[in-house]
Amino acid sequence: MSFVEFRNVYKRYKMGEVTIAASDGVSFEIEKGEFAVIVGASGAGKTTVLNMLGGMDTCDEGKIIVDGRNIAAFSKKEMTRYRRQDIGFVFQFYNLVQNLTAKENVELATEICSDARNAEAVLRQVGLGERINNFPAQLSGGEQQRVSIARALAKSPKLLLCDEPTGALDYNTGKTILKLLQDTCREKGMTVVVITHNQAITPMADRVITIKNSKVSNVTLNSSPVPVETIEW
Amino acid sequence: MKKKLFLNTLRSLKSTKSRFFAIMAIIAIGCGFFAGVKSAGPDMKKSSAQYLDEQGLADIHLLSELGFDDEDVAAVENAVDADEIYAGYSADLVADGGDLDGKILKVYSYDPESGINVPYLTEGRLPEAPGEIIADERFFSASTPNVGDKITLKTGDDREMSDYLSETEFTIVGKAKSPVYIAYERGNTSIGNGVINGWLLIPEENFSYDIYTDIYISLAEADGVDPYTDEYEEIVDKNANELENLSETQIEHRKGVVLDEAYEEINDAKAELADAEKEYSDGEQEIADGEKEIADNEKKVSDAEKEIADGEKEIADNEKKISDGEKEIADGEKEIADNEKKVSDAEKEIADGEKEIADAEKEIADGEKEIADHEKEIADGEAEISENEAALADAEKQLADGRKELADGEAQYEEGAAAVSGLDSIAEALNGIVTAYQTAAVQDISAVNEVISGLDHEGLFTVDDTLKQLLTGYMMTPPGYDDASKAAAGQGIAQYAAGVTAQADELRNTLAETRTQLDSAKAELDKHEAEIESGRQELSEAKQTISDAKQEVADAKAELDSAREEVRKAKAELEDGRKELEDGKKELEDGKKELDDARKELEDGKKELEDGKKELEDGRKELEDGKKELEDGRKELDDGKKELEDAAQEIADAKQEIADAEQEVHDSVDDAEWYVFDREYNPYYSHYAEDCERVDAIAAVFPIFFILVAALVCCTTMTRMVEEQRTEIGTLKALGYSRFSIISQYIMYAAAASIPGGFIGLLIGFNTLPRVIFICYQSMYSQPYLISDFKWDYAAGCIITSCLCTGLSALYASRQELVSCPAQLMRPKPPRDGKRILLERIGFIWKRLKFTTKVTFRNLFRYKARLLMTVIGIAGCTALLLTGFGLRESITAIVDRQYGDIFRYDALAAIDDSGENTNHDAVAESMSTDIVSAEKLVMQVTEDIRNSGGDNYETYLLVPETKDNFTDFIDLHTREDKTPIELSGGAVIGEKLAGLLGVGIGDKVYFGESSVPVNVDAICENYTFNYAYMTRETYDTLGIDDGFSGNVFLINMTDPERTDELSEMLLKNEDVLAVTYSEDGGDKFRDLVDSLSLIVVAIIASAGALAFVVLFNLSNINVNERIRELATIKVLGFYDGEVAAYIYRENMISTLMGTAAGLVMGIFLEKFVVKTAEVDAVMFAPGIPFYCFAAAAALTLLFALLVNVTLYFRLKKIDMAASLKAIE
Repeated sequence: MSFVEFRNVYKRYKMGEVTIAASDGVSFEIEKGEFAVIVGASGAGKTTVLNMLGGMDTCDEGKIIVDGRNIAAFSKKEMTRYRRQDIGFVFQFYNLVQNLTAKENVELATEICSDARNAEAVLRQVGLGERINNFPAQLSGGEQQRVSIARALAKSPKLLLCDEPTGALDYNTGKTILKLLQDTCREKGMTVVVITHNQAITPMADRVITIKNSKVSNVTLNSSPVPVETIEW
Repeated sequence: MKKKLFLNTLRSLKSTKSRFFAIMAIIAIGCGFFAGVKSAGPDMKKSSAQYLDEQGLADIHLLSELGFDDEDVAAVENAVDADEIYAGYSADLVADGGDLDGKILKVYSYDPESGINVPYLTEGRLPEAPGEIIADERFFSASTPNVGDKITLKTGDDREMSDYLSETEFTIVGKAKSPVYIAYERGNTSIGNGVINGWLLIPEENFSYDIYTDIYISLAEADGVDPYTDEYEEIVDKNANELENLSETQIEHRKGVVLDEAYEEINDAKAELADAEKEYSDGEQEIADGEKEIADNEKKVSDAEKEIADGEKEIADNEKKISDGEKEIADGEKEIADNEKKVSDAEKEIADGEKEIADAEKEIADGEKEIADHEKEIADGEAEISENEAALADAEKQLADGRKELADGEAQYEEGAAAVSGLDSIAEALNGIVTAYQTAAVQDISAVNEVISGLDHEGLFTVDDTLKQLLTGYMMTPPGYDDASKAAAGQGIAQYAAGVTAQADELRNTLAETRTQLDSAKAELDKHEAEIESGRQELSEAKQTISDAKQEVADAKAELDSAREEVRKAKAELEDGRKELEDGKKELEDGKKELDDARKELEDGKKELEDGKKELEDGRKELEDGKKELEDGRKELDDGKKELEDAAQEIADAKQEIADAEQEVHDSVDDAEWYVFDREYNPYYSHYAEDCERVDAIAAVFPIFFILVAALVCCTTMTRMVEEQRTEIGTLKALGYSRFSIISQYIMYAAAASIPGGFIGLLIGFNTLPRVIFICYQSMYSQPYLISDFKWDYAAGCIITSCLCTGLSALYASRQELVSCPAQLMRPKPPRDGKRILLERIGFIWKRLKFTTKVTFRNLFRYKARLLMTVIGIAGCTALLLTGFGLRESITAIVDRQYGDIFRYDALAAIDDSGENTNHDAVAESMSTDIVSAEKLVMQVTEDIRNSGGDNYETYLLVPETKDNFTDFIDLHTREDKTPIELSGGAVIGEKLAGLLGVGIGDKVYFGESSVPVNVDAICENYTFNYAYMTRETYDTLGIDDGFSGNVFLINMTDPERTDELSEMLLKNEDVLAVTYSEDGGDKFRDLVDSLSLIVVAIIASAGALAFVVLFNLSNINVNERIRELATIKVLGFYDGEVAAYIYRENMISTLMGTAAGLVMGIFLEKFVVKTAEVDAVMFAPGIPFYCFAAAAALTLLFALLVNVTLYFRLKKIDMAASLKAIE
């Protein structure tokens, strides 16, 4: 069995009289340690998949297996525990708490996690050893995204979910962030799922899942992913 | 306004419903509370004025002891310009029978034509015919006579009902309120317990008075004048003065009439008295005759009594004798029985003695036989012993022979032993020679001889020749010469030696045998010796036994002899006993005979006694009859005497009565005057006005506070709204809308919330709060209705203020947005930067804090403005609560302190001191019962008190007759440390009064018209009304009137429950006008406290609503602003509880800060409100007890908790997807 598995997952929203399926029988698999990219145009249903995989939303039908457990059947409380212990989340807009320093933002996550890593060590790992006591407002976008990644990594999650991690960053910074993610995947064996609308970054992934019209339209396994440096967009 | 923009505003109202309604609610609460409380006082006053006007409450009420006749009424009509004058009747009567039995009712005459003091019907109808009455709605609501029922009346004094009314039974046709009674106090009377319970209106026709008791005047000038104004007071005062002047002349007219009538009656009484005195003297003669007759009869009776006493004595003596005889006989019988017993005992004893003697003789014979046996045994023993002694001597001889033989044997053995050792040494010597000369030789034969002689032993061994040769040859032959012979010689010698040795051995064997024999012989001898020893021992023992046995026998013989002697003695004794017994029996026989004789004699004596008694009984009966006759005679006489005495008393009473009546007539006429009462005379009339003013004073503080907080909240809410709509403002600006159009949107929004909110609040406020407050006061006042109208001035003020509040805060909030350029506005506003807070610089504290606590502190200080809002809002709520509680406490404390700690007397009796003849001592005397424990005469007057600046206040001035024990009645002390105050040369004045006058200890004050300055000696604790105290001596120096004149008795009761008894007792005394109880005084204030409690509840409820709205609104804004942060921490995996705690911590800290600030603010607010709410006559107890603080804080926290609970559900609903959205 694969590490992550979506089996015929449906998610429907009622908009007045009309029911819209945001996930319309989505099925895919991701193996442990893979760098997976879920790609699709805006409105294709990527975020719905991300929400369900990240334990932020429930599905109406189907199974979502993560590390052998069907999270689709989780109670609210189990769902929270799942987010707390198993998932690291990297937001498009970093979502740092403005009122906390870089280190404190990381600690915000480690405080509640049972086998968390040392906050300073993780920050050093993402290259922010010098800036741990700065407030988000004193950091550049790329640095803020690094803090966000450090916050996700500090929990030693099973799965690192990244929602358009480069969406708010300039080209070069975006690249370094992707590099950081790819390195984390390769060196730590972390399973990384990146959600993006940017087709250009698919060559760096082990697996590319394309979503279109709320369905998986294509899954490509890439036997020889290229390093981030060689990608252009 | 552009159409679309208007549409946008309308839509935004719809989309921000909760905010819109929050603003509306706050405005409504603020306006409603302000307008409601503010209009309560004026409404109440206005209602009262209208009520009193409609019912035509008289402006002036005249009373006189002598009543009024038509001439008086006409005079009054001339004196004042009156709308109407009504002359009527009133009386104090008592209900008779039914539930109301004994209740005192004030009865007024009713004239349906009159427009003065018109009853306000609450039930039934007005009377239309005589016998129909209207009853006091309040008193009769609680008791059974209802409309249609009948009520019977009786008088409360010794007068006849017909003096008052033509009938005694009336039908109640209606119940009403009377404008005369503003409060529920019904006044005092001089009958019964002194308290009037209710009133009745009875048609004029039913009164049998020929003069009027009351005149009521409605002044034309006072028409349409607001009765609570100075203008009204002036009008009334002017007219009252007119009437006072008129009274001087009119009273003289009435005096003349009354005196004439009175003297007619007195003269009739005097004639009656003369008749009675004549009758009395006849009675006296009759009694003297009766007394003589009785004296004679008494002598007869006493003689008979003496005779009977003698007879009785004789009988008693005889009875004694008989009982003595009976006793003697009984004793004799007892003695005989005893003696018989003794005789039989003696016989038994003798028989026992004979038996004993026979036994002893048998024993003696046995003993003699035994002794003979023993003597024979002893002789046998002695023979045996001598035989044994002979045998022993033979054995000893044999032993000595044996010993001698043994000694001989030993000697022989010794000899043998010596021979053996000699042979041994010879053998050795021979062997030695052989050894020594084997290789050697001697030259000289002498040496050989020497050896030979050495070997020779007499009897034992002799060296024969062979040996000699052998020796010589051996010893003389040198070695190597003839070795063979030498050896042969040696051989021979050795053979000799062996022979000697053999001989010695033989001898040795023989010796050993001998030894054995000797040893065994010795052993046998020893054995024999031992046997002899033991034989000897046995023998001596046997000898001892024999001698013991001999001794025993001798003892037994002696014993036997003594036994024989004893037996002989016993026999002699027995003989004597028998003789004695015989004598005893004879004596017993004689005694029995004597006893029988005595019995017979006694029987005769008894019979005689019985006869004597019977005789005596007859005598006694005769005497009894005689006495009874006498008693009856005496009784008759006593009755006659008593009748006579009563008659004398009656005559004396009648005389006194006539004298009193004369005196009374003069007194009443002398003291008579007109009393001119205006409305102010009814204390409740002015209390009502004061209470209205007090409500107004409280109204001044609370609502302003409310509006302030409401404004604050509106301000925050509007600010938030403008911030949220930043992008929209930018867009509108970019589209080219003017600043004014944009602003007008917000002004419109503000107005749309404020105006309806204000109206709703005003409608509710105007209609509920005055009513609630009025209902509180209705428990004290009989004002039947409240007129509350919509006050447009207040309404306009409130709504304009609220619009300004919201509109200005919208303007203030959008000031920055309006000057920024559109591009700036369309970009998202950068989130407010995180900052280090001051606390972080204090490393040692900061480091110790938990992570979550650090976050809390940062967040708190990040949004300073909101923190401040929350703190102010909460503080306001706490302060309001504390003020509410504190106010209530301040008022509650008054009652117990004033009527418990300060006024310690139980009752107060007012004394009439207007006449010359007030007998204080008689009143004091009448109080010496078990109800009264102590009393004190005091002068209590209402007097003006002035300071040197001329400020003038009215005060009660109390002057005790003496200072002794004054503390038992009124305890003067300072408020702070309760130091007792002693009255001395100056005045002691109440704290409030001192404050009003602005005087302190040592300052001068002036009383009434007097210009003599009085030093303020001390300032005492005092809460209700104003009091000043001074000694009698000080008062007398003031020169007011005639100096000290006691008009009040302060009374301490043994049992404060027995009020009815005390009143009844005291009011019998003519000089006592009324009795009041300090308990009742306290109750009046307790009512006030109870009504204020409701107001406090209203304050608490409003403060709670305020706290809730403020906290909820601010928390809501807080959550809205941080929705992204909260969604993010949810994604991070915070449980619902943790997310809530994240916000709660901030809320709780700001709430606690607010509460603490509020408690401090509350202290000042309470002080301020107390100061404002106090009227001149009352001082509220200062200081707030701890529990008020605790309650205020606890309630605030409870409200905060409630908000947090609602907040929890709101937080639970936050959608995590919000974290993914772009920043707006």
